[in-house]
Amino acid sequence: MQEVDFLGILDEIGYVLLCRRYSLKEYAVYRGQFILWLAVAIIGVFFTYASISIIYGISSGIPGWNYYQMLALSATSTMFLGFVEIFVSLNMVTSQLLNGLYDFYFTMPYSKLGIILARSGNINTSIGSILGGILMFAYAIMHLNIAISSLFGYLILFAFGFFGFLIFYPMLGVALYYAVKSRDIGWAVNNVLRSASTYPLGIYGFSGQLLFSLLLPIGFAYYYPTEVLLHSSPYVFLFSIVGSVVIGLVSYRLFNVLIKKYTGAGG
Amino acid sequence: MVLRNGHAYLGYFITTLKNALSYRLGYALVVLSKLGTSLVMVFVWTAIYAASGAHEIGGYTVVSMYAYFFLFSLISSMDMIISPKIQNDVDSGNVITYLVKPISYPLQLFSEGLAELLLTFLMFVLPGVIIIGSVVPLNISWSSLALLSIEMFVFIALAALIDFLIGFLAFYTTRIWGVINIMSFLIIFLSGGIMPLGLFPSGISKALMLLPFQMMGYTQVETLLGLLNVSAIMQNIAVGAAWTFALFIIALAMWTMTKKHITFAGG
Repeated sequence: MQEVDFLGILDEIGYVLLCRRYSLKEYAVYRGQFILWLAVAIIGVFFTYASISIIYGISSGIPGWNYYQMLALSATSTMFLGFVEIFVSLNMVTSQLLNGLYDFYFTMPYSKLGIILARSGNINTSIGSILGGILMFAYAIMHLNIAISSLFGYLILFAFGFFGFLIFYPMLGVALYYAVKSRDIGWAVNNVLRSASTYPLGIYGFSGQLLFSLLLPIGFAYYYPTEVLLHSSPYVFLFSIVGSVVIGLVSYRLFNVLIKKYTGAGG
Repeated sequence: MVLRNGHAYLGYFITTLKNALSYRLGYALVVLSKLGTSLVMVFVWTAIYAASGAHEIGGYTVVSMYAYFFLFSLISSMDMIISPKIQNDVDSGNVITYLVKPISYPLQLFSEGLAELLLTFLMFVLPGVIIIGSVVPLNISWSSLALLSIEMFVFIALAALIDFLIGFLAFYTTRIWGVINIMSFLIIFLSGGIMPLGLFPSGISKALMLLPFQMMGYTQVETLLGLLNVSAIMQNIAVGAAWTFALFIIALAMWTMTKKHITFAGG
């Protein structure tokens, strides 16, 4: 059985956190840009809120979801993507692989996954998304009767989904790089995923639910945690934890297989 | 000078067209990403119509709502990429090499933008509209096509002028990615990209019709679907034309001011 190098893992985590901390500090130094990007993300969150409000103003809305439940769901998606993008953005992974920007970093004595997580974040809009998402979430749950245990279960699933996606996103980025050699592919897929994750999985039908739970498992990031928050289902809780762990493990295996084939942007 | 160097702009147009043809995939991904986002909206509205049991919501049948989002994503793809180019030119200092030439820098960018726009129109928008037209009955007549041509002309002019105004800011602040993103969010939302403007609360909807953004997708799609009468279309065109004139004057003044403001290291 392969031995787990805990010290090595701690060293990697330290390196990733140090790089992201430095990026955050660097980002915050340019105050004008910082405020502008904060505004960009918060405007995006406001438009999501406005769209949901208009939908519920002119119709009975999405079946099975009341107005505040929908706000909580969309806020979860916004916060989740904000947290993930601090470490890894699909757009950054595909464009940096294409431009050869990792070639230098891959010579460092860290794992390639660690290097991608340390160097592929998109801090610009992530802070605003997290803040805007928290505001919208707080507003929504003030109007919902949420038990503390459900909120606790939600936070646990959110954390599991987050760690699963920290491995899934780099793997998806590398897979997209091989599939379509274009710097726009990461941006395009991210746009569609971001848009799809604003609404409940139920609207996509059974095949859509399978797609967003197995192939592009964004459901574990926002949908199942919100389900547990609103309906306290122990089965969904268990399924979501197992799902997130499986996503993490399978993605890690696939990532290692795919990245071994990377020979640098030069060929 | 502009007329005397007309062949130079034609040269930029042809060169950009040839370059763009080599990077067709990038353009296709932009359109596909927009179509993917529209597909999400189709699922959302399918669920809403099914839940409400209504045949029409805000004057839209479920089929016209589907057509609205797909047509919007195609037509809104026809914007120019001017401000990012200005930012890159200013940031790299390459702008000086363009400014010393006996041609107008904004007109050169406009010629390049037109070439990219023509490619998007011929390769994606026209075939897309024909495919949608074969499934959903569109309001195609000589008069509607004439109105649509005027609307597209106003759209292209407005999109270019707004992009120029944002781009000129780069001469003062260098980095304008934040402003570009804020503007693209505003344009998507206020031009009806997330929701048809007619579905907004009455007062807000009337106010939005007085802004230039209604001519950046909404009016064109409504004309194609036959949901606006001729007098409403003419009114929207008049508002768009007035904005085009006003923005042209502002852009001209800003460019004159910007040229005086430009200083470069070494001279």
